[in-house]
Amino acid sequence: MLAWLDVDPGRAGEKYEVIRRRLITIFLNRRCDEAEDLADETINRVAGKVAVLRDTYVGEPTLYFYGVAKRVFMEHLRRCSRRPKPPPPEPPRTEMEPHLKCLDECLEKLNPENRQLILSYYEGQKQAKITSHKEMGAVLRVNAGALRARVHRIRGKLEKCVLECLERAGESNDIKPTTI
Amino acid sequence: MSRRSEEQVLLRNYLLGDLDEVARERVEQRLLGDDDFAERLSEAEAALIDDYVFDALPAGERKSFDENFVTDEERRRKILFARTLEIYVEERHGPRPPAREDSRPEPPRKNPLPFIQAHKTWSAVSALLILLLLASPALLWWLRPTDKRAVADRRMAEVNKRPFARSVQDLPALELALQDNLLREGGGMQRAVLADDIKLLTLKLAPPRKSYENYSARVLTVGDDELFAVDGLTPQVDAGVETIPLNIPAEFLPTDDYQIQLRGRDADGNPVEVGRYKFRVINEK
Repeated sequence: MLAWLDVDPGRAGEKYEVIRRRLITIFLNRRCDEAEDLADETINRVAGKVAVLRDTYVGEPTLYFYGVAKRVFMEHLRRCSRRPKPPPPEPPRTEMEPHLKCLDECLEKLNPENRQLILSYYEGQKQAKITSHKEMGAVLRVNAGALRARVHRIRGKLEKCVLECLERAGESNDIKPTTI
Repeated sequence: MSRRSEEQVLLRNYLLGDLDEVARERVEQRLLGDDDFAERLSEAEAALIDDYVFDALPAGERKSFDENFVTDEERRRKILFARTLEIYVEERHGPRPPAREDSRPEPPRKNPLPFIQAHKTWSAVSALLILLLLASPALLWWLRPTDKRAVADRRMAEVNKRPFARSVQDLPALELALQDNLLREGGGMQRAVLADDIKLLTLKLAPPRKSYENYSARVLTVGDDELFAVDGLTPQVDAGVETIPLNIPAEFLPTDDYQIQLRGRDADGNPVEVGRYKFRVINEK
């Protein structure tokens, strides 16, 4: 199946992972229990047909995956009526401390420009933040979407760094991470 | 809410579970095969979480968010991370004080010595009065009532006496509307950021289901320790909305989490709890 996705094995492996992740996202958005299992079932069914597909199928492989995913979804409809949970309540201040400490460390690792950008993005209160984002965009000469994209990339790095920090802290017991 | 492109609206509605089947399938097909589209969906998710954390979601979207969005642990984690970032910035990188608007240069100071020498008696009396004024805080402190709780209760009674005194109404205040915790749907704790110039926090408590003539309020820590209390609170109607205003001097609220226990009185005059309201204070003084 990997060869069907791409002739280069490295790229094929990456495409496989991407497709799997996105299938999981699709099943989760459709409120399916065990979204990973359903994604794996989809992939297994496609893998079972690859010998035929290689010679007969014309088109984007991902569309074929999607067709199979829809069938899997219909067959497992009963497993796809889970009620999502409400948003998590704000944890007590004391439980936030390890996260804030890790955030401190991780912000230091950003270059000064990115650090200032993300701190400025979150400054201010509530609705005022939305207005200040427009002003920031004007100063940086980017539209709101580009600003958001840039902040999104920085935040992704920060979030990964904080997670790793909390895991390390859990191993060293220097900071007690809280699973929230 | 900023204006969005059609695609941004589509992605947002997909995340909120507000698309019909045809539109949803179009999004999903594209998601599987288009890396840029997938990245834009991820950005749309982050923007939606930001709007939620910033309390900038319109009521309809907020309802869909509460009912449909948190499909897995990863989204839960992202919401909490966004909150952590917001709290971090509020507490450790609060907004800078506004720059002085008056940029006129100060006038040059005059030498006071010749004037004092020419008006010795008047200068001596003035100096004495100034010394007394400077010493009065120390005198008042020395004469202060030592019971901090009594002082706090007295001050609370002053700022909550109905009708509100002009001096109370003129204080720079921050208003915060609170719902009873039992009735509040999802979401995080309401938060009040008390900037340096704010002297009063006015909590607008949503009235309980059963109404009373008047109420008492106890301000508690999250561990239920009572800090101070006030009686005689009455509802008020403002722009057609009834609330029970509760004023708290800003200096009584260092950065922490608090709760208000609202009580009415039953037919026998016994206090009965009718509501509990939680909030967080970030005090920048």
